[in-house]
Amino acid sequence: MAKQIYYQNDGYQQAFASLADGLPGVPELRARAFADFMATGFPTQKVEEWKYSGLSALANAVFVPVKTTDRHAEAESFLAQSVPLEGAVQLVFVDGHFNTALSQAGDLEDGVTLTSLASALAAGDNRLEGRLKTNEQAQGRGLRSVNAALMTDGFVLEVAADTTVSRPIQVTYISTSAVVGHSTQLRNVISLGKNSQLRLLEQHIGVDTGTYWSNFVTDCTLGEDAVLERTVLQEEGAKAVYVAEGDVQLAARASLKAFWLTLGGQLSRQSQFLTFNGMEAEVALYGAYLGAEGQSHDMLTVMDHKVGHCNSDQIFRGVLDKGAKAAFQGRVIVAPDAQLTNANQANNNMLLDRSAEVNSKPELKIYADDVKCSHGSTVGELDKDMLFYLRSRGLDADAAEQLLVEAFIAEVLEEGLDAELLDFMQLRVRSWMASHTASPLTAEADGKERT
Amino acid sequence: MLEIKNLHVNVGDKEILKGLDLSLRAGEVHAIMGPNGAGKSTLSYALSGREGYEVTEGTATLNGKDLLDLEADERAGEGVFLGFQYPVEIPGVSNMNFLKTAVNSIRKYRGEDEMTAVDLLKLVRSKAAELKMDPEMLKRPVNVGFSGGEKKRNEMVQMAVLDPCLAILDETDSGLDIDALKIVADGINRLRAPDKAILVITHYQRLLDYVVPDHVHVLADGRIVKSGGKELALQLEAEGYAGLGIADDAA
Ligand SMILES: Nc1ncnc2c1ncn2[C@@H]1O[C@H](COP(=O)(O)OP(=O)(O)OP(=O)(O)O)[C@@H](O)[C@H]1O
Ligand SMILES: [Mg+2]
Repeated sequence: MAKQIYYQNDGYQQAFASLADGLPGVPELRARAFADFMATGFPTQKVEEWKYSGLSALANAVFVPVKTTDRHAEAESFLAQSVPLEGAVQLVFVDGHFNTALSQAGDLEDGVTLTSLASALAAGDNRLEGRLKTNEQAQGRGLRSVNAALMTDGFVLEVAADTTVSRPIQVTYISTSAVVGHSTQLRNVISLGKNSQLRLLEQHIGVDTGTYWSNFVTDCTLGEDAVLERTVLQEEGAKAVYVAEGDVQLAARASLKAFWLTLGGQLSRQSQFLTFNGMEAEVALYGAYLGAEGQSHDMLTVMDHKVGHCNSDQIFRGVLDKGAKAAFQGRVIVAPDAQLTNANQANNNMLLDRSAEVNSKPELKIYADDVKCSHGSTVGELDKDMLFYLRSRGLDADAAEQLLVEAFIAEVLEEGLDAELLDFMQLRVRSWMASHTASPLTAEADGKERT
Repeated sequence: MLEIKNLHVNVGDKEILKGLDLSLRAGEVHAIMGPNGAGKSTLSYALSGREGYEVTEGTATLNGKDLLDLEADERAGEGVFLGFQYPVEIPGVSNMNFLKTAVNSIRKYRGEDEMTAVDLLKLVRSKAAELKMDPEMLKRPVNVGFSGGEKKRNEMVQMAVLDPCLAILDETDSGLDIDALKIVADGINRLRAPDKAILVITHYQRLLDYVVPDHVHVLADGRIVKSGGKELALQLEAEGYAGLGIADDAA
C-alpha cells in the first residue's frame, strides 16, 4: 500500500506518548497498533473498500483525542437532541470519555455487566485483549490500528446466558470541541451470551463549527439464540469526519437486526463485517442516509456466510440533494459448504438534483450452489407525475418534494424500526429535510415554459 | 368566471391546442366531448399548470386572474381542481396524510389558519362517507392498488374535501360501474353552486343524464368546433362525430 507521509509526524507520536498512561492494561497492544498505523496509515482510495471515500480531510491536521475533558456544560446542551427512549439506561461519552454525571446507570438484571472500557481495563479484565486486537492482515486496517493505539474509552457490555435485558441501553456520543484537530477514538465490546437479548441505541452528536474526527470500532459477539437489536443515529456536526467499523460474529440461531440513520458529518463511513459461524442465524440490516451539499455518505457491508442455512437481508435507501455523494458497497460471500443460504440486498437511491452522485455496488461471491441470493440497486429522481399530482392539490414545490422524500424513506424506517423509535426517527428525517434541502424544484418549475 | 381566449398549447414540438375559446359563467356546468387525441386532457393540464404544456398564445383567466402565470399549486390555491383521467399512485403517502397536507397547503396559500387534525379527520370522513368510500381506504397509500373505479372515486373525495370553485373533471366517469357512476354524479352535483363552475370531459352521454350540463362543446383538432345545449350530447351519441362532419381521427 502506498505510504502517505502526513500521518507520520510528530503530532501523532506525541499524542501516542501522552496517551500512554491514559488507558491502562494493554500497553503492548497499543504500541503494536501504533507502529502498524505508522506503517500503513489511513486507507487510500486505491483500496477497493475505500474507493468512494477519500480521507484527505484528515491530512490537514493531526487529529488526536483529548486526555480528559471538562466540557460538561457544552455536552449537556447537546443532550436536548437525544432520543427520548422510555426506561433506557443512559451512557454518555463526551469528547471520547465516559461521563458519569450525565449518564444514568440504573438497575440492570443480574448477569448484565456494563462498564466503560477504561474501568474494565483498570479492573484488569484481560479477556478484553483478544477483542481489541487488530487483524494485521486486513486491507485498509489503518483506522483500526490508530483506534487501538489512541483509544481513550468505550463501553464493555456483557450479557450472560439466558438473560433478557429489559431496559434498552442508550449510548450518546457527544463531540463538543470546535478546535480543528480533535478526534474521538472509542472502542466498544459487546458480548451476548447464549439465548440472551438486548436492545441498543447509539446516537452521535457534535458541534457544527469545527472539523473533528470520530473513529469508532465496535466488536460484537452473539452466542447461540442471542438476539440483538441495534439502532444507530448519526448526527455528527456538519464538518465532522465520521468513520465507524463493526464486527459481528454470530453463533447458531443468533439474530441481529440493525438500523442506521445517517444524517450528519461532512464525510461519513460505516463499515460492517458480519460473520455467520453457526447455522440458522439471521441478520437484517437497514439503513437510510440523507445527504446535502458537501456531504458524502459511504456504507460498506460484508456479509460472510461461512456456514449454511442462514438468512441475511439488507435494505438501504438514500436521498441525495444537490452536490451530495453517497456510496453503498454490499459484499456477500457464500462459502462452498454454506448451502441453503438466503441473502438479499436492496439499495435504492433518490437524487434530488442531477449534481448528486451515488455509487451502488453489490458484490456477490457465491461458492455454494443451492442458495438464494438477490440484489437490486436503483438510482432515480423524484417522479414528475407524482410531483404534479401533489402540486395540483395545492402542495408547493418544497412540500411536495418533502412528502415524496419522506415516503421513500418511510418504507425503510417502517421495516427497520419498532414503533417506539419510528416516530422519532421520522421527525429527525423531517427536520433534516427542512434544514438541509434548498428548493431545487423551483428552478425546474420555472421551466414550465411560456412565451 | 373562466375565460379562455385563443389558447395555443404545444406539447414538445407539436401544437395540440390551436386557438381554443371557452367561457364558463359562475354556476354553470359545461361538458366537453371530442374524439381521442383531440386535446381534451391537454386543455385540462394546461389549465392546471402541468410542466411541459407550453402555452404559446392566448389567455386563461379565473375570475379575472391570469391563471397561466401561476404555478400548479397556486392555481389550486385559487380554487382550481383537476380530476385526473389517470390518477397517480403515491406509495408511502397515506390518503389521509395527503389530504391533510393538501387542505392545509391551500389554507396557507389563502392566508388562513391550519385546520386542526380533529376537524380535518371529521371533514374527510364525512366526505368519504358521502361518496361511499370505505374509511379503511383513507389509511392506504394514495391510489396504490386501487381499482380503476376506486381511483376515480378517490378523486371525487379529494374534490369534495378541497371544495374547489373550478372543477375540471377529465373522464371521471370512465371505468365506473353503474352504481359508482350515480355516486360520483351525486358528488359532482353537490359541488354545483352559484359561485362555482364545473367542466366535465367525457366520452359518454351516460354521466350527463345525472349531471345535466348547461352547455356541451365538441373539441376536435385543438379547437372547440361546435357548442350547444344538453341535446348536443344526445345527438353525438346517436350520430357519432362523423354525423357532425367531424373526422373521428384528429391526427
Ligand atoms: N408528451 C407528449 N408528447 C407528444 N405528444 C403528446 C404528448 N402528450 C400528448 N400528446 C398528444 O397530444 C394529443 C392530444 O392528447 P390528449 O391527451 O389531450 O387527448 P384527449 O383529447 O384527452 O384524448 P382521449 O380522449 O383519448 O383522452 C394526442 O395526439 C397525444 O398523442
Ligand atoms: Mg384525455
